[in-house]
Amino acid sequence: MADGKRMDTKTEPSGKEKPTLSLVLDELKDCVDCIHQKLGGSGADLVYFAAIVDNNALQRDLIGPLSQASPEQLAEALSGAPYSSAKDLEACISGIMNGGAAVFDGQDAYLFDIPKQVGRTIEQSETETIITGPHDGFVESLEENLGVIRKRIRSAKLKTIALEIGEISKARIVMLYVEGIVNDSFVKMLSERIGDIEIDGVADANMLVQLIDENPNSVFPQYLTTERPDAVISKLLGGRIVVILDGSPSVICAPTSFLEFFSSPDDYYQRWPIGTALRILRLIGFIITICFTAFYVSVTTFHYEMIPHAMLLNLAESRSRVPFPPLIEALLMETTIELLREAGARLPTKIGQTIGIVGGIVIGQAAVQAGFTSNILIIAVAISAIASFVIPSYIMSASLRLIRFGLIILAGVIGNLGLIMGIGLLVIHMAGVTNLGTSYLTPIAPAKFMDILDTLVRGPFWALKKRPTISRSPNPVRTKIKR
Amino acid sequence: MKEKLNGFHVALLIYMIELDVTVFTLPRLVASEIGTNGWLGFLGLSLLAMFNIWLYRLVYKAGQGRSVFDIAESALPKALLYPFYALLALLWLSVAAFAGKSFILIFQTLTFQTSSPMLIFAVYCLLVYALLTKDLYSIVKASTVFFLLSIWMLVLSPYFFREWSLDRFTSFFFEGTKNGHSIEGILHVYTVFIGYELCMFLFPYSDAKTKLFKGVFAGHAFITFTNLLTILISFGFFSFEEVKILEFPVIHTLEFIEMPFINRVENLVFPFFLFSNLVSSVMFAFAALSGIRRMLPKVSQKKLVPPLIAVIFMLGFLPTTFRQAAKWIDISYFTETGVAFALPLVLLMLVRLGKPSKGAS
Amino acid sequence: MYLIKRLGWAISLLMLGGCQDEKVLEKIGFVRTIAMDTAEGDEKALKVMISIPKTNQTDSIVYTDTARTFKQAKMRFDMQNDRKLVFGQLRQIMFGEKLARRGIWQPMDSVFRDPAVGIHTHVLVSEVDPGSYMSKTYKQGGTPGEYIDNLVRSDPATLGKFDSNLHTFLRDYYDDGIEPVATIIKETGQGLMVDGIALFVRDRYVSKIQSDDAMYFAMLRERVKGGSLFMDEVVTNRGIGTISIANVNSRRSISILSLPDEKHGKPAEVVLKIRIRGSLLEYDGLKAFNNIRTQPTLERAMEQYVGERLERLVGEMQKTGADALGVGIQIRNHMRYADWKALDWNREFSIARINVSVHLNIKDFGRLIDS
Repeated sequence: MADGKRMDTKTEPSGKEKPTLSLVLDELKDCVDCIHQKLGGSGADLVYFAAIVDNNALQRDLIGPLSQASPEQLAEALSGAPYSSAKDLEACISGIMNGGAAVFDGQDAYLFDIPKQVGRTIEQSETETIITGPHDGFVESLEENLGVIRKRIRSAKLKTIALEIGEISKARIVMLYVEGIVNDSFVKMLSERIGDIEIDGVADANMLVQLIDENPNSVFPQYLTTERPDAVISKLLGGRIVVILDGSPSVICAPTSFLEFFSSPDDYYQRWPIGTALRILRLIGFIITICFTAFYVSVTTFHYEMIPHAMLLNLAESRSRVPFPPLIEALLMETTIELLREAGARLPTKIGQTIGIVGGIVIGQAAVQAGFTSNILIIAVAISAIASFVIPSYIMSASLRLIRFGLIILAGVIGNLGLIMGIGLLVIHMAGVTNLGTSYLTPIAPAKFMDILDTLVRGPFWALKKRPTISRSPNPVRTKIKR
Repeated sequence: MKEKLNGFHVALLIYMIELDVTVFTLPRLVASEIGTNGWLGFLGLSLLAMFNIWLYRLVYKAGQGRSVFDIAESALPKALLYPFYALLALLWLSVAAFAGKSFILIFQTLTFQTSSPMLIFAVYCLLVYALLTKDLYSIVKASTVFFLLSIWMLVLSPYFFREWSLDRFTSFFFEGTKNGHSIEGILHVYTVFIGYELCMFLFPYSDAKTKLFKGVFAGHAFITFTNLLTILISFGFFSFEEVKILEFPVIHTLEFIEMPFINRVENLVFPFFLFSNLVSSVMFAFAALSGIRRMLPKVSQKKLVPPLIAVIFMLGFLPTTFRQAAKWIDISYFTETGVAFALPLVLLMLVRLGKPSKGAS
Repeated sequence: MYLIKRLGWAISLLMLGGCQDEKVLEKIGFVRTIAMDTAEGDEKALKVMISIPKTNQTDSIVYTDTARTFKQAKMRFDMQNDRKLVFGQLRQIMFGEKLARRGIWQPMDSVFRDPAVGIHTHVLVSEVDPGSYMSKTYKQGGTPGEYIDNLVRSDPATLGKFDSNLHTFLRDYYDDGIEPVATIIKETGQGLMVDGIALFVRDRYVSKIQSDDAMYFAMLRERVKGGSLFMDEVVTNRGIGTISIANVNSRRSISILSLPDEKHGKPAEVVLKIRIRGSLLEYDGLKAFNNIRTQPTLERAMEQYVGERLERLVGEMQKTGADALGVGIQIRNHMRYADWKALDWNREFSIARINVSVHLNIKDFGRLIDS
């Protein structure tokens, strides 16, 4: 309970007392949006928060009938559904805070649950879009999200566990898994982890994942968060656990491996050779985005012999007009691109387009002509930036952008060896990252050949017989398509 | 992860351990110590190494998969063994240090000729430190990824096809060595295989399903194949006498590759050897760490690692010029070869000694 | 934190160490061509010229100096140039004829020992002062270094086969069964041209193969793909004419009939078999042979011509004992080690009996059929 500085001499209610009207009202004082009504007819007291109950339903289903009931009929009306008896003060307050109306008939308190749908309706996610496939996305309301999932997996085996997080925010969390194909020890581990968090409140699922992961200082995200229901469904059917946080449109999937951040649901909606090509393209994009600019810096600073002689004089000429060494030039350009990107994320859409064009022209033409940078570097930086957006997960691409800076500096200080050392440090770091006890680098290490069919490439459906091994599922067979 | 190692990963680990900086001079060594068509002699040496690995397998079977420390301690008193552990740890740390230092010295003949090698070595030690603080499974995982990152270099081999000619092998066998055949010379070539003896530290992490020795043999066979390929390419690409005078024939062959968008790929390919060198150094340091931890079981691993890294760094000061590095490498690698052969024999004896005190075998 | 700490340490350590070795692209002068010749008047000195292309892609800076060795000249050049000189992008080393006849190993070694020099660097010989090429601009465009580079690589007569680069030169220099060759460059009114092949014995230039014979020499030395042959006097029973065949693919094989025997004074007997296939694209004075029936006669006549010409070439090579064909390698394959080492192959080559047997096939006649 919140500890305010109270000057009164009354003792704090422990929450276990019988809920009476005066106790409840005392708890909820100084909340101007808390409505206390005395109903005519039956004389019952009604306490609710107008902002979070569905006023129409309240009027129709509660106030209307109860106002017309006589005091004798009141007890009868209150004893059945949809009214539930509030056990103690804590439960009563909790019920009211969750969008219920409390009815006091003088002896007991009863709760009537009528929360209002606050927030967006189901619409396409803005950050994860695909061309073909379902276009709905998760929203901030837990019930809506749960509904989207339940509609797609209509099996009683889809189990849900309720948890709560946040001492003050008391946000609701629902953990989903499909019984029989999930590994129970993971379920236990994850629910314990979430239960162990002691924090005032969590604003978003992306914040929640940072609280439950095992390597909080790593630069890589460790649990996949997504706003797409079709991705979540395939994760659930792969034997993984899904966590929904009320108030956040991102849904967490656990356990995750590094390569999963590079796969997008629409790989499965295309035919498998195209899906494979797309996956390989993303991996190439990954390599380009972290290495390309660094490689440019290292070649122009230390390894001039590597430049083919057809390009050599061009490159030397364009570099000769720039007053900075290649490392500084590259860092300046990368920082500028990052500034552009971050500004573009914050700008209102009305001026966004104009600034984008201005930024492009400024960076592109004017900087080269002013001798501020060389045009080959601009191409390198632009290709790196584009390659970073090929990765479906925004959080992962942000991590990679940061790594890119580190590699650029290393390459600028010690050339190719620095670049390789940087990659070595990265690999060493990733080798130590674990995820609910499983390795982050599955299926490369530990190597599971069947999994490669679903991560590095996209194998045809008749080959994807088993679930991913990372989920340690007790029931690994997934399809029985004969081919 | 409490699971045991997988034979596939063991193979990759052994491959990465055995692949280190010695491969650059390998064709030259084979030419000057074994002679024309020396690749046959090389294959013979590889079989010798396989025999040595088989000895370790005997130890594994006889000791029923126990850790080698357990085997030793069940036969001899700890006080007698501890000095051995310390000496062996020092030997392994020096192998680790010299492997790293010579990589950097070779790298400095290509670029960074005037920088201080100790600074680069310091960063190398930093990488060793980063990997050594993790447990063996993470080391194995990292070395698997490193393997994938460096294996693409084999793809470059068809490039030499046009310039390669079998005639340059000559039809003589084992002629044309620099100073005739000598044990020291042949040992020099043999040192390319150092690293398989570290399989004995994998005993506690493997079980019957791991097929440990299948993996070790597979890794060794693969490195034999890679080294053989290197030797064959060099022998057919350069003339025989030329191989004897080129300091690093492998780098020289890499220089030849010229593609439309990139030249002189040895500047890019050579740093990739950092990975395999790193795995070699880390695994030798891990061996030393296991020995030290056995002596000081109460101290946590995290605390033990920095002093070991400091020792490696200090040892790196010893070889300064290239010739000195060669001398130190010779001493430590030759000793290591001897140890690699002697240890399983000693351990087999200890297993026998240790049996009566165990009771039922 | 973990990664950042490691990265931070790495970067700070390296900053201390790595900076002074920078070779930032625009701050270095990369030498494209080196030319060396004997110095006038001084037996021991070398005249060294280097050419550094400028970024406007047409001009180049040329430095000349006379010094004892190449490295000494380089130090003096460094004192003159405003950018540090590096050799990683070296494309050609040219030797003047006098120096080539004296022996090019010493200067070449001092260039090549530097690991920065790439092994694709061409080794060229010039019969006049090579420095005279380097200061001119040629209308073929680019700096002289680029022009020579492209010329040697793309010249159809040599087809880049005599991309006589450092690798092939060193390889054949060290191989005791074959001798190295180099390309000769000459200046004409319109530009430069490949003037033939220089034959070496070890590192001394001994004789020259004329440019007209270059293609034939190529067929003797190795496989040829896409060459072209010009035969100027093909003798047939219906007349003498000139023939050109293009798209020539040829293979050669060497058969050793008998090994050289020094004790009994018996020379080696060798047969060089050449198989040629090509498209007949020009024939002058022999139109009577343009049909399938008479093709074999024409082929026999061409074989006769090619065989004679090749044997003449071989004879010229034998005069100087420069076995640039690799016959020695084949002899070596048939001998025992001790015998081979005791043999003086240069001498044996000059007295060996080498026959050339040619087998020629015409693939097609191009697109015209005459009656």
